[in-house]
Amino acid sequence: MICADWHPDDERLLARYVDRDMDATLDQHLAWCRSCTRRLDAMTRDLDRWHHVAADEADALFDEPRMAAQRRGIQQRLGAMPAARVLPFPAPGDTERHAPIARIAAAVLLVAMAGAAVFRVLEMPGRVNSTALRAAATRNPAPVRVVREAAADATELEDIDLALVRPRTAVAELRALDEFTPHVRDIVAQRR
Amino acid sequence: MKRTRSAAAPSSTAAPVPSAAPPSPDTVTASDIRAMVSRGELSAAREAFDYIVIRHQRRASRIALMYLRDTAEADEAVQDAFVRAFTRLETYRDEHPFEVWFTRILVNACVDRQRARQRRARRLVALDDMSTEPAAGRSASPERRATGLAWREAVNAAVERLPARQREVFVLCHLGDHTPRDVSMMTGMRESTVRVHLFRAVHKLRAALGAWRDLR
Repeated sequence: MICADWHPDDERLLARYVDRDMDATLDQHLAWCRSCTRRLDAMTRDLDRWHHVAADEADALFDEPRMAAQRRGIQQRLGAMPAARVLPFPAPGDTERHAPIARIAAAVLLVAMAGAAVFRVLEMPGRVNSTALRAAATRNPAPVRVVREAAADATELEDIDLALVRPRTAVAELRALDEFTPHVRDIVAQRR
Repeated sequence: MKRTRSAAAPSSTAAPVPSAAPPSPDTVTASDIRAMVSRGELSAAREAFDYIVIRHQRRASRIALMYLRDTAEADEAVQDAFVRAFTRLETYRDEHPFEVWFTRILVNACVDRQRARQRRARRLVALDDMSTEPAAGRSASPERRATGLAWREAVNAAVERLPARQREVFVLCHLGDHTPRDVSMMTGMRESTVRVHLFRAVHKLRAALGAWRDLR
């Protein structure tokens, strides 16, 4: 039941224009209300005009040659794009061909690295000296000697510091540093 | 909005769109293109995409022109949008119409260009009067008025003066022929908000262009 005094507002009329759904109440009203029908007509006319103005202007500027050029531009840009797919790495053929060599090389490398590490641990001069010192310390405790050695170490460290601070350092001044550094000849001699 | 509809004569054929509608040709084509790309058939994919371009470029150009008010920039924005759509096709979900998804990309491309233009304008201080009107509109003669050019310019200027949201909704609904529901999906606004913006835009335009009503 629709009240005779009821008239839809502009928003409702606009919704009638833009919607694709049916508005049964409004349609029923428009069927007999001339005033609202005229309002809707006026609104429709305005909207249609604006649409035609904009569409005609755009269509005149974007004529058929321009549209074709636009399509060509799009295709060119798409053609210039790198293929958006991920290449398998390593390639399947390469994997099969090089697998034995790669495995052997990796195994050799691992063995070499492990060997080097073991050798370093066994032959490290610091380790030998500390073991020897510990053994000596347990057999003959000699506090005087330790103090003397510590004093000598301190002197040597001071010499190193001074040598490093000086702008010109003589070769003789680096002797202290040299004494702290393990030598190959000592290691060889110890092994013999 | 469909211009073909007569608003004065209530349509009894307009029925709600069924929810389980068959996929649109664009949606099917998009799925095919995705499959081609995944198989590495890029040439065939590009060729198939050209059909999508042909179907949508007219409407896309209108929308872009209305946003940017510059033919060259609109052209580039449309190209950008199609290239982006192709490269991001795998992000397209079939539950939305292809057109809605694509228009969203287009609007983003236009907005990006608008922002870039604003940045440029800020840097290059007042090269000229920098009018947003088309060049032809700066000297509207009575002769031009007679041809309707001035009327066009008045409409464009009135649309240009709308607040950004209202203009966006108006352009998409009115020029893009999209429903408020579609525009809601494109812009992320609620459908009711879209309707409010559209109503305010139409109200302002009618007020601004009222003087022309009798002249036309």
